[in-house]
Amino acid sequence: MDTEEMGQVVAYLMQHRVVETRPVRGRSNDEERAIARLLVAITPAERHTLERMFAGMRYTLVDFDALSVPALPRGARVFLLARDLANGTPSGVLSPRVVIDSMRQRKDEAARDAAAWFVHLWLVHLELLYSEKGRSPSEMQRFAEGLFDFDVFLSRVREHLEDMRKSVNRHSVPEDAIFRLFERSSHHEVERRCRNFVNLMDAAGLLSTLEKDQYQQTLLSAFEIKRNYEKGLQSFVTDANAKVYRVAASILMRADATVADNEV
Amino acid sequence: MDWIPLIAATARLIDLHDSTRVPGESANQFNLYREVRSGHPDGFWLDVGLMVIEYLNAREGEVMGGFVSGAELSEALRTPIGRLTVEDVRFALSALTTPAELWFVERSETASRPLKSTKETNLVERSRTADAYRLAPAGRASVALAANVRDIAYIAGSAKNLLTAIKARDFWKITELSSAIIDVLRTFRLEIESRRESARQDEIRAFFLDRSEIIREQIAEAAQILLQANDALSQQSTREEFQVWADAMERAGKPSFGHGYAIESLRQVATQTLKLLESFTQLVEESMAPRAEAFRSVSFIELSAALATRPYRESLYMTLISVFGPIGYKPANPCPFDFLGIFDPTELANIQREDFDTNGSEIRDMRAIRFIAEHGEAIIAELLKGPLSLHDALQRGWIDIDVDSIQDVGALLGTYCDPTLLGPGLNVAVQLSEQREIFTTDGIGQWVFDELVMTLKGP
Repeated sequence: MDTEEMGQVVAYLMQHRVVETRPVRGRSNDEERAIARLLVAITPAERHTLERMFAGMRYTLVDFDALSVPALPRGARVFLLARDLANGTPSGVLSPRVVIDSMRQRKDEAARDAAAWFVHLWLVHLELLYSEKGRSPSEMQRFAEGLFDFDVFLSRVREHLEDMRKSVNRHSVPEDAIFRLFERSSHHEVERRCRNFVNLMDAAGLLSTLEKDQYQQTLLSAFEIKRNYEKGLQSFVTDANAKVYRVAASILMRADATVADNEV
Repeated sequence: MDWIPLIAATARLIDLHDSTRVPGESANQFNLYREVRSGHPDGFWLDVGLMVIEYLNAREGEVMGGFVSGAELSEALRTPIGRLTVEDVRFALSALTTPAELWFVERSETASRPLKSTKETNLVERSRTADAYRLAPAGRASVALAANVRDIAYIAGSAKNLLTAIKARDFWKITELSSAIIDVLRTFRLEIESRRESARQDEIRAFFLDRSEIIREQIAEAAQILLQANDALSQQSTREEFQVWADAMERAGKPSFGHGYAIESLRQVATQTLKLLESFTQLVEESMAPRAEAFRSVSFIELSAALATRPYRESLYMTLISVFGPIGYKPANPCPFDFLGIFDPTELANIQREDFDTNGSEIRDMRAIRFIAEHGEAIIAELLKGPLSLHDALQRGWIDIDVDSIQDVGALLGTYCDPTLLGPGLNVAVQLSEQREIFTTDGIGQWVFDELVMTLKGP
């Protein structure tokens, strides 16, 4: 692989983050095929260089085949460029802009609202993919079981919002809490937000569309969740489940746990 | 003997074989009640039947012709199962010796789908002349199938079978046996993963404690044999015989495959086996490490409810999005050419924050439009005079470079990236020149960039 080809591989991976030698959804373009050929033929030294380069960007380059992930079709290989908290917090060149833009309902909607909708819908979707299947976020291998219909997702979200409406004591909720935002949302708005969410996740390669309105978790999503759950999110989630809330970004980094305690 | 997987593998196929549903009926009219087998919750008759088969199998090598008398069988069975009567044994034997006819469509490449049947389904055969029994071919096959546990510890044996098949010129078995070995490797990994992931750490630890050395040896041996098999298949003499076989198969209209394909499937099995061998130590180590806590299922809904009713922390939400959500790349500069330049402001403090402003993008879009509205005509006027370099454009003072209006630089650059902003119907070319320019302003700092030149090419 010469330097130019290496550049192609880097550029493609940074944009798409997934290269499949045999795409599960049967779609493949010339560019992906070319990149897949380069990656399959890569020498250990080149691979090492590439891995170091990506580690510098706080990414990790991994690949799987049917032997390491039995859910994959036989003979297929999948290369993933995943975010990895082990390499540090995500690089500063990453921007939540795509999420904010896609989740916005109006041009002038605050980024805060769009981000909040995304995060909470994301949590409900994790509930469907993991908790309701008795699956731990570390169980990457079961990613193909992570199937849901849009209707199920939507009704789970509505149910969740309704449960909160019924159970939350309004006096104890601070004015700037996201619940205030959910409280005002209409039935239709929730549906539109859910649509935006699945479309966004699909476009980002974190969900795949099996058929209309039926979504499946992707290996990329399962891998990133496993990796970063074990590296940080886990203590956050288990604490919340034990009714201990440490609401701070630093909780995602284990090293900062003490700081997080002070921020309650 | 591992009977249950074998029975499980065939039970539903037999239901389908026996199904009375008329093709074309609605799927809801599935005669499900016929397909449901009531079974016996005590598993009694299955136990008796399997004991007969296993007993006959064990005695096969010891007695003449494999025949065992009915009396001996009854005696042997009634020791472990006290309440079994002679009549019961006779019933079980008559069930095992009676052939059932199986109807099947021969599946072939051609369009014709001939219907065939077989009655070779009795597991035990009775001597015509005496009350004596032995395993029938189907019974022997069932023993072989049940014994063929898909266990990694026997992988060297499977590899040996493959080598033997090549030496015995049973070429048709190559792909079949190769994929069987790959399946074993796959199942092994799947088992380990699923046990590890479902927190059954103790099981897996015990498993490896007892057998990891044996398994490692077996995998190493299998890899060795597979390499031998590869050599055997690559020999010139084998290659020729392979060709003869393939030609014969073709003449007979039977499916076959090329030598290259066979070599390739062998190579694959060998690679996969070697890969497992390489990662085996790591696999064992990982499996031994106690990590049970990571495998508990957790509730995300509760987390959502908790977060929603607490003060909003932007940093937390943004971190979650940047670690787990879809990502885009921050447009550091509005133009790819910018990577060739360095913008080095002396007062950096206020610039970065713009990217996170709640409605920063609107402000920027507005600025671009405003910039063109204000200076578009002047730019076109300059272009009509001749090429306009970026350095010249900066010196015109169209943009007032200070900390607050830093986006105007973006708007100007945007014009160089997309000159159609200036108006429809203008044919403007942008070229990157070799020259490197430095532009200095008092207010903000120094900008080092590769010169860009905009030229109007006719209307």
